Amino acid sequence: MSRDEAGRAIDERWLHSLRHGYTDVFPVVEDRRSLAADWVDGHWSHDEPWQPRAVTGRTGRRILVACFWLVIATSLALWWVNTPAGSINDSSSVFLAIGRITGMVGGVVLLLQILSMSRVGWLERLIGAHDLMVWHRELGGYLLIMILTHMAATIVGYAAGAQVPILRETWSMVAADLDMVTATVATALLVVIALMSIRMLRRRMSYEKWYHLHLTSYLVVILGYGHQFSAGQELMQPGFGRVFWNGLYVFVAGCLLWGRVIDPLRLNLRHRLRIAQVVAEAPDMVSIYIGGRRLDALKARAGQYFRWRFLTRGRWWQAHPFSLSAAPNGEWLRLTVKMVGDHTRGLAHLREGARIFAEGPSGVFTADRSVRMRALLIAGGSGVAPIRALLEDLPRGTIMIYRARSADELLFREELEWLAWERGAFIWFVLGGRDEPGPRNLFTPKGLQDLVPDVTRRDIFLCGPPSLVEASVKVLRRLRIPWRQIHLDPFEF
Amino acid sequence: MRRAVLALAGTAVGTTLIIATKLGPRPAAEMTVDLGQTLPPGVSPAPQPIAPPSSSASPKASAKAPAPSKGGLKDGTFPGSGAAAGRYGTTKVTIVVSGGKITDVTASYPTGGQTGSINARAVPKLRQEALTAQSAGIATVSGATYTSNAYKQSLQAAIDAAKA
Amino acid sequence: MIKVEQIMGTAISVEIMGATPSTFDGVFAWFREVDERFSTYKHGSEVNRLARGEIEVSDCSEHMRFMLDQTARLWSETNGYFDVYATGRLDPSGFVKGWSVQVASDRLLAAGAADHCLNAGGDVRVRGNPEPGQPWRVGIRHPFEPMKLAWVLEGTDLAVATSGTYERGFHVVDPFHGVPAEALCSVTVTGIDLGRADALATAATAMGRKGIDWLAGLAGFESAVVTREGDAFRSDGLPVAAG
Repeated sequence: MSRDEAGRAIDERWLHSLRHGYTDVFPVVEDRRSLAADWVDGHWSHDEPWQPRAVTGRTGRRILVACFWLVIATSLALWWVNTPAGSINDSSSVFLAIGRITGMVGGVVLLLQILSMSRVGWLERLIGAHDLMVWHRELGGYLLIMILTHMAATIVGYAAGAQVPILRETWSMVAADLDMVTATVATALLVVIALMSIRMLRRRMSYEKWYHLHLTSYLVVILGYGHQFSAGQELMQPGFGRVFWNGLYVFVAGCLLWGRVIDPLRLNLRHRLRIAQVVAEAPDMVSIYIGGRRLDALKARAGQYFRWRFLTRGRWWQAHPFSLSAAPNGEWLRLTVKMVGDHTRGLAHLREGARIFAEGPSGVFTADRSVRMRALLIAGGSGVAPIRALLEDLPRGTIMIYRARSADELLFREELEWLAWERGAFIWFVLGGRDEPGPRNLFTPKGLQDLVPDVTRRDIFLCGPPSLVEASVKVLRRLRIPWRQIHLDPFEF
Repeated sequence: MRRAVLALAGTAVGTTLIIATKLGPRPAAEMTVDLGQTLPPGVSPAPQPIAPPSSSASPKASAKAPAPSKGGLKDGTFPGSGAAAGRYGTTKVTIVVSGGKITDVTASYPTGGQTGSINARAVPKLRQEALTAQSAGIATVSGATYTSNAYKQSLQAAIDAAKA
Repeated sequence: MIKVEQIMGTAISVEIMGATPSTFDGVFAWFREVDERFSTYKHGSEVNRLARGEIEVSDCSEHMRFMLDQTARLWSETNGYFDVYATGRLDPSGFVKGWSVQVASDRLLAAGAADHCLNAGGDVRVRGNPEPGQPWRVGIRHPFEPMKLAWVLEGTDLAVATSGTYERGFHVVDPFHGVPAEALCSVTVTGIDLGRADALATAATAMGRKGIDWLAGLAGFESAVVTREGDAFRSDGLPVAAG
């Protein structure tokens, strides 16, 4: 089917569903049109007619952080209660104490790493996949240092106490029993995983290889589990410590099971997603329309993404994140993908009816995070997908800036123009190369304000290639726009 | 990596603080500090010169003196200030020092009250003393029975390995 | 020369000065024989067969009958606190371990190996000198600090038995209440006879706090105790090392 025929068919369906009732899908932002203006004491009695109540999840986040500190405090208290006062009085006991403390902290952080990747809903909603990813990366480095310190300090402590050479002590500890052997293997594995996660080295591996290597981190947890109880002073005896520690494991395992297995199964069994149509939007962009059952019950919002598994041979084991490129409308879902590698290039050849296993929805790049009454959308490249979806969800008066090298590269041109007319939005197409005057001036305070005079009083939703995002954030910060007004959808996963 | 560095720094500080709460004085120093408190004023536990070197034996004897941790105490009898409160009531501890070492410790127990009947019994009693944690060169360790597994990480295993 | 083997569920360290490998073989063979006979973990051991009623006391070996006789006396001397039936099933391990080391030491002495240090899972028997003029130095493990010592003893003909609550897997049970004893964290008894010392240490642990005074009244044995609260007690005659 050519683009035009297919496109028109889709447009008809789409326009139909748009015109009939999409305005009562997710009325996230109230659209007040009139208000009494009172002049009191020499100024208007409201500076903004109203403030939308932003869903920030701040309280939830605070509770989460408090729980984390509570767990750390309890773990350290186990050591504290178990260590008689004044018992640390020489180098051996200092090293052993360091070994124990870093062991407890390392154990908690290891569980935290697993939890952060468990994809449970409440974690994604409160912290968001991007921040989780950033913390996961940084904590990975921290964890490695903790575990290595734990190992070294314990060995040095025992060696000093028994006045035995360090190498001999290392051998005797490492080979002491099965639990210690597996713990040593776990540590070695952790070192390899951490090294391979350094950006420089990671880029040299194919994604599949890296992904499989990283999966072995579950093995690190399993192999290290035993020695905590057979050699850990705080967990050796039955009692509160053991119950608490095992409780943490049970909790994290439960979250993992829920987030990675049960919840996705529920979603997919309920909705049974299948490919309805694959449409080429541009030489290197393809849209996939997805149909299923009870899509109106799918709790996704514009701006969010799913991790999609296309259940065909050779593809089923990979899950890739793609944003929805239209707000969920109860009829179908759409994602639009830029073809950059083998996997994405193959998507263009997917057949109708192919089954899909989706995990999500994820992402906090949604309209309900607005803190201001109006919004500015900035899109470039394939970032236009979630921006296009958001345009359906934001109130009247939204301005969109679409950066592209030439008019040929613009996607969804007709949809955007129709939406702009229907939703009272305004779109600036800024075309040209990076060094041309138009684009360059866009990212200056004066240039931006000329296009969007009240930019400082808008929520800004940004999605595009890193250079675009960087330049935009720079100019926005120069304009002193607070971070809570700037919303980013990270590309990198 | 900014967060990781901050976290590491915070952990280092926190660990130091929490270990500091459990610090104790060095076992060797404990003896001298305690005695310093019970010595009558004006007496210092500084080492006293041993008998005049009229015979060749004494310099050797002084060279063979035990580890300096306990040495150098002034001879004499030093009554305690009665601050040691034990299960049976406040006891007065008297320390006798001779040859630079503690040679006797006698404790006088209170005889009043309910505990008096226990104290009045004329059976030999075990002497209570301070529990110290020592590290010393020894040939073997006597302790509660350990399993083969527990042996591997024990002090005994380290000693056996060093001898092998 | 030192050799270590895992027998009786624990590690047995044997150090004999100036010995041949065959001497060690003989010593470990003895311990294995004791294990075969007295281990409650081996289904077909003599002690288990006796406990199950498969054999009568009169059918038992000389060692078994000796053990039954000695432990009966100890039961009476300790007012019931040393009781091989305390767990409900015949379990003489509180006597056998120490006694087997004592026998090994006596045999070594008779065979001419007069300078040796034997340690079976914490029960120690030393004889002679490791080096000319030097006594054997025996440490008593600190109950709270696994790599430290609470006392250092020395001797040239010394048995040291310690019973305690800080190791996993071996409990001393109060025979009158059937619950593990907890008040005394570590009890050490020293003397000449390791079998008796072992049993007396076990009995004192089972007694709890009362054991402290009871130990003080034992003739021919010295003792050292650490309670759960960290209070340390010892008899005046405990052969503490001089420096």
